[in-house]
Amino acid sequence: MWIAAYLDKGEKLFYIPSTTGALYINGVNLQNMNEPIAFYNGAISASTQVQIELVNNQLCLYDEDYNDNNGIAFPLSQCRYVLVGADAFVYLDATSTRYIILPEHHALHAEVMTAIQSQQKGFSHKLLQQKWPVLLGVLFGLLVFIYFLFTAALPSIAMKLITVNQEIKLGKTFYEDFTANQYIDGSSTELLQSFADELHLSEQYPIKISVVDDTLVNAFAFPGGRIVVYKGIIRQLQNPQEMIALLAHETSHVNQRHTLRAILSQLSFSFMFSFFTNGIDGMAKGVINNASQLYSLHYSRSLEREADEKGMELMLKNHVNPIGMKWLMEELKRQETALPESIAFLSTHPLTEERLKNAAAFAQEKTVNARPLSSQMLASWHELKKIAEENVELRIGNREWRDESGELRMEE
Amino acid sequence: MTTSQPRLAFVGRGSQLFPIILVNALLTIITFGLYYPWAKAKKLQFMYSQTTLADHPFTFTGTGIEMFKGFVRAFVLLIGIIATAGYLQYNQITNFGILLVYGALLCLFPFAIHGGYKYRMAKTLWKGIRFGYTGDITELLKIYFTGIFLSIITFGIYSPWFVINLRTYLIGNIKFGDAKFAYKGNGGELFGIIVGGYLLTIFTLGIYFPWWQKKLFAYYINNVSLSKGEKTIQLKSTVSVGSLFVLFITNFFLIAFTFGLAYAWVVVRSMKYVAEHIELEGDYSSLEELVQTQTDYDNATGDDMADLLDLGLIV
Repeated sequence: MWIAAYLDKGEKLFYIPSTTGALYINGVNLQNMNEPIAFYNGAISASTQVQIELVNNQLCLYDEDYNDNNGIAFPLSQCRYVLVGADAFVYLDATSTRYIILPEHHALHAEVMTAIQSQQKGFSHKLLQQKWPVLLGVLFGLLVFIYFLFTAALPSIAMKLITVNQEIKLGKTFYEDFTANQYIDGSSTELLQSFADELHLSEQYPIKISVVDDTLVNAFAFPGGRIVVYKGIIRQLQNPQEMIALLAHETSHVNQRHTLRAILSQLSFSFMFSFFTNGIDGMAKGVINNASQLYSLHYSRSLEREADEKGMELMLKNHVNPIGMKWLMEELKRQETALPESIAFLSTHPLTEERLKNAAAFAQEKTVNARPLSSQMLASWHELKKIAEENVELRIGNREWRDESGELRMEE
Repeated sequence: MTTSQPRLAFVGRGSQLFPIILVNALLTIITFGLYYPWAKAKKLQFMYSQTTLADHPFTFTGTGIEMFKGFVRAFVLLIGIIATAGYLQYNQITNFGILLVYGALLCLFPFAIHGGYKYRMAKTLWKGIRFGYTGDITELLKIYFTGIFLSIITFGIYSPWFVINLRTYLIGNIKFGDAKFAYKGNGGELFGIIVGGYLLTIFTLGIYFPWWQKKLFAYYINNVSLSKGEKTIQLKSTVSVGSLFVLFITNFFLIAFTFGLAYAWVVVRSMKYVAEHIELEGDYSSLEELVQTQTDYDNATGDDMADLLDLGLIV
């Protein structure tokens, strides 16, 4: 909307409805004399000189004579600018072929940039206006959130969705996968199973035990009730109470669904990790790689503490002195100093002073209504030990151990 | 009009790029990766806008939505080929099927390069004048398959000639307004640089490596020219081994001591180095007289396919 009037001597007067109410006489802005600037028209790489004005959210360009027919208006919402040094290169439309250069000292330098900025919308623009420490903080917070989502929230949801029967099936699959390249000692397995069957270990899960013919000092549980005990650990245990403690501890991992939780958080974590490092196809690989390493699951300290406690409660329920848990820990600790590399059990079940203390305190606090073990159990235990000691040449110098009655003895 | 020698420069700062990278990472994570094309556009727009020739910035006019559409098309195409392979294998149609699928995958590369060049060049502007790629896909396919065939039967000896043919064709079809780029190199020389550099690097236990890289870079840059009519501008590499070595070492320590947080600064330093070590010689007055001749092109499928195939557009 241009209103033009003619004065006496043929001079032209424009009134432009601008925010500044600029008044032009003979092409000269009376309030704000703008310096001509370079305009590139998108047709050739050479520039022409123009003068500019901000009017009604538009950037208006005039040639140097302010000929009204040559004024071109560009909506600010289409404009964007780039700073090269302090000079603003203002692109006038979406094609970015037409632009002007606003030098730092130009009267409208700051005003044009502020006007364009106020037109910019979008979430990323708002974010980009924040200071980088804020952005870094938000990004870090987001990563922490995602970490907890994947390692805590998602596994918890999955835990609720997986039924006991599904868990048993899942455990069976993992177990079969694991035993595919392990030698299971049939007679030891039978003996330890009958030993365990004398105890009431689990309400929901069928506890099935397998003995692996390996000198590794290790034992662990699969979800759903499968427990694997290595011959190496049987050899190290000195009395049946320690074995009951071991079984009670592992069963508690099963009963409390610790194994399932650990598997889910490990899977979930590797899922997240491979997504960030390799993208979608990396995720699938990560899951496959981790499925084969489930038997080296790590439990958190709180889960270990819980398994100790629930294990000792199970012992009490079975009329077995929970002091066996303390003995088990002491026994393994002694082995740790003698044979550090073969005690795999301790690397997955880290033995802390705190656990030892808790076990001792538990045994002291509770009134124990211990009954002697059945003759069948004792028979199984002795036979089991005999098999485990066979073909063993490995002996560790002088050491102390507890016999069945719990007496501390010293070996020659 | 007298003009001083136009210089290439990168004027951006790490403190400008860093927030862009942070925001891109944030939005890409919370959109489960869907923001990636927009993130790529934002980064390219910044990098172009901070690269200047004769104090005028380049402009990248590609948008997130174009690249998103391109990405979807490229992804569907790739999945389609992989699914066809799976289907044929499942139905025991092996020989012909595998040949068909490998043929299709092999074809993707020249199509990705062709489409990638068309899109990138059409979206690159300087002083409002568009670049453009005018190559013909059938010509490119000819060069590509001849090159692959000859490289295979010569056990790779032909590959430097293949690279030169590709470069000559691709760069020779880049227009800048009414000016035209050209690449003038030959396979024999490149073969010499590659084999000589390889052997010397081994004999000197790796010491020669920076000299070799400098030579390869110079052989690329020094053979590029831009002509408009009779006026020709020749590019010239001024990379020196010492400065290249200093750049590598300082960048390495920057990354190592900040656990990668200095990535933005490393990118900026590297860009500055490259820009400042390419000089323009000859009759550069043509830069003032360029005329808009190239049209816009919005299809980013090739560009995104090149991304998916992890294919750089610089041959």
